[in-house]
Amino acid sequence: MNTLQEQFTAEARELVQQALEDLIALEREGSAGERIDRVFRAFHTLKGSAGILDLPVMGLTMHAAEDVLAAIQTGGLELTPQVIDCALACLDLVSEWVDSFASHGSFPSDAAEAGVAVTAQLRGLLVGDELKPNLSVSSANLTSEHALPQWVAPLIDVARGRIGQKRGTKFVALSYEPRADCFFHGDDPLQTMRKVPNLCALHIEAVRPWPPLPELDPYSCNLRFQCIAAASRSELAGIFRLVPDQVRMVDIPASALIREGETGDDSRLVLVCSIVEEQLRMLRSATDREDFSGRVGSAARAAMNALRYGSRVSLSDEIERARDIALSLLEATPLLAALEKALALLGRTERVPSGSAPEPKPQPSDRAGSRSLRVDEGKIDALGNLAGELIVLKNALAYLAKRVEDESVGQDLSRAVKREADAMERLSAELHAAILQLRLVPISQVFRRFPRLVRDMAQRLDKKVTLVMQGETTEADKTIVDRLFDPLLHLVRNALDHGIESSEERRSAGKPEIGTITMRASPAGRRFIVEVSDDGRGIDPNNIRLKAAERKLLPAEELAAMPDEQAMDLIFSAGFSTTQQVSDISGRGVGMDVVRTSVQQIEGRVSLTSTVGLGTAVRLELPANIAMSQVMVVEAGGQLFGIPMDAVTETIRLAPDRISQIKNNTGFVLRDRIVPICALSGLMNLADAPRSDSAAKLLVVTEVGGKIAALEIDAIHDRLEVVLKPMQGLLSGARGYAGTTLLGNGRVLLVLDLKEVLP
Amino acid sequence: MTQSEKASSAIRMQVLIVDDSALIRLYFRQALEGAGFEVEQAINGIEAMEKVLAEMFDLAIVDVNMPKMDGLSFIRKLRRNGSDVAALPILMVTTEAGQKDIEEARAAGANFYLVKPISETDLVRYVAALAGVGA
Repeated sequence: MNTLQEQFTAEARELVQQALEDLIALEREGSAGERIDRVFRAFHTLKGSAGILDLPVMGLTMHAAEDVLAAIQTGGLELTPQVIDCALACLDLVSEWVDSFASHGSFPSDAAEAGVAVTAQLRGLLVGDELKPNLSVSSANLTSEHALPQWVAPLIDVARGRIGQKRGTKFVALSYEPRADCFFHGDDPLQTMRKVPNLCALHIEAVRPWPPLPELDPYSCNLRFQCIAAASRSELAGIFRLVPDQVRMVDIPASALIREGETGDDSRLVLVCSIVEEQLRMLRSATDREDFSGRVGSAARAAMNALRYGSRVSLSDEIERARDIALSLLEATPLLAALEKALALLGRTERVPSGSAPEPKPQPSDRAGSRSLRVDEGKIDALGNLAGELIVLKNALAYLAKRVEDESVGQDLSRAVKREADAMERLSAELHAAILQLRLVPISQVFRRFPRLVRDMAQRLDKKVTLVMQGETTEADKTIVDRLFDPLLHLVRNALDHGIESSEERRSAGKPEIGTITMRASPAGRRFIVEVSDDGRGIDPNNIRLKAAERKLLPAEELAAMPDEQAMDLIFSAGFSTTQQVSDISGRGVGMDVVRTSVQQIEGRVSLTSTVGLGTAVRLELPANIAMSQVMVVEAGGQLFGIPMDAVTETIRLAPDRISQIKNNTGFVLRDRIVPICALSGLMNLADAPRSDSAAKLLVVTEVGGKIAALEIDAIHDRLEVVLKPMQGLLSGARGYAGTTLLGNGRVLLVLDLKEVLP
Repeated sequence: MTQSEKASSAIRMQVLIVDDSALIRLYFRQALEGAGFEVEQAINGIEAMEKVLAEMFDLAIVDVNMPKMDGLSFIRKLRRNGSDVAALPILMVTTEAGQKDIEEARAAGANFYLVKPISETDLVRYVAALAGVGA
């Protein structure tokens, strides 16, 4: 993609998103002027962009949407849900087109049909508005005499040399893009093109880049024909009557084809005349005298410039004198006279249209701009990797500093090295923190997609609900925010589908008819919390037990004995779904287990609380950053391992008499909880170091996914802050490891993934 | 574009592009810089006003529909400025082709009016003429 295309996709996506949000807000709040204006402008800008990139389908569709919005602005049309639906559908379509454009460089093959359908829908909203008929015709109408689509320009360059002085002839530029499956419709594009009379320029190109020969599908047409013909539109329309949807035509003004050089002065003269003429009209359109000097001055300057451009310096000088007189007399007449004279000398008389439009009120203005910079994610990652390397270097330096200290090379030197190492540690920590800051994005980036989704889902389920969002400014690492969408979508769907009752049900329960779903984010130290709650029917733990028994997740007696809290937790088990019937929204079979898994993948935790009749709240606790992790370095079976600190709850030196044998396993009681003990060396299949049973055992108590366990180890070394590198190459399939990091002495430290290591 | 339409590098013409669409600005800038113009940009009427008061321009290319201060308001304000700046030639560009829109631009004091999409060749020709690039 060239820069223009990149700019287009980025800008279009932003506009679509903004318009989406505004439309949803409009539906909620009614048509407040400023929002409507902004939506209108979004469509307007999209239309303009479509023009630049020569995407007539999009131009037409946007034009229709813009007309609808304009009708709402002026009060001619009411902003009904139907209108909003239509506008949203239109935006969806644009999104789809832009995505296709971004990945393939072109719109999807059905773009024209889809565009026509949405355009018709939009036009249908405008009662009394004359339906704009066909694609090709109206796209041509949109372009004025001076403005031709980009693809025409190279054709004109070719045609110019061949036409000579044939005046009074009509020229039409035509672009014919046969459908890929045209051969199966009996079309013969070459034969059709041969019928075009009086060809002045012809260009044939591939629509998409040609694939390598083995992949080439010879039955699929990949050609685009473009030409200029000295023929009438109707004549050409006859030739292409079977494929009107694949053809675009644009009238070419003869002036555009006049050969420069021979008649170049002529075409330049036409341009100069049109500018001078326009200054006359502009002067006559004055509505008051306040802008007199600006109007007279600029008209004179534009006319003088144009005349100089047309090499009529003496005429230009005359205009200048007339301007000075007009300005001193405070009367435009002398300038008008001079302009008319100039026009007459240029060989043209001017036709004057009369009447001028009323002046709209100037808009109040304010100034606000965010000082933000858009940076490619990859660049920040590169910076992050560099900082990671720096931290490794810092660890190495700390190690050296320690050795210098041990080897007593002199106190001064060792102290100096230590000081520098400390300074480097501080700096690298600050650098890393600054980079993490760069990666922070507000949670609103994911929240903002929900109003639309909730609206559509509620409509389909025929439920009434308000979505409340709080704490959208809470920030977290981009990777995490990006990955939050799926779990949140599940939760919101569940809340809407299973939580919120139907209006009747709510009325009879004495609740407000409109349900509320709340999405709330809040920072919590180095982590943050996202909560999705509803004021719906809540979850009955007994229903969960029933369901679990039905699904044979656990034996009935075990379920009956289970405390409510634990029973609720079963919701997160794989294959559990409380839906009574298959619904369009949540489907079946995929449930909360997906939420838990995807949240755990980003080192988060899920918990659920619910009260029957009052509602349900699901709480996600997530790390705000993932780029850096704290690990505890431990030794077991003569090897070093890293244990992620967020899994470690405490370390204990345990006297042997507190250890009890439970079946084949050992365990101990810690604050009324039974904690099983596993030897890390055993888990890692390493030989145990000989150890007397009477010695106290060193244990690291860990809690992962709600399960508590103690790892028996031989020694605890440092705590380190490390940048975890995922396992690569041959090791990428190794289970049980979260990643690796480099230690100060250059050795590789394997960091354990306790979820997989613990039995 | 013929050689004479290229602005001579000795006196480079200064053109101000006023448009809220970064895409349009980019498109115009590429076309005009390619033809030897010097280009400045503004994203709305307010910013444009600041720029024209701070710097000398030979021409402003102004979009009609912009947030904060639209093109028409900008032109009206500029023409009433009282200083030499008020006489800055303005080329209005828009996607509207209606007679009413053209008349509105004229009444506001625009010197010429082009309808998007505009080919690069046309843009450069009109800008050269309105800014007074000598033959």
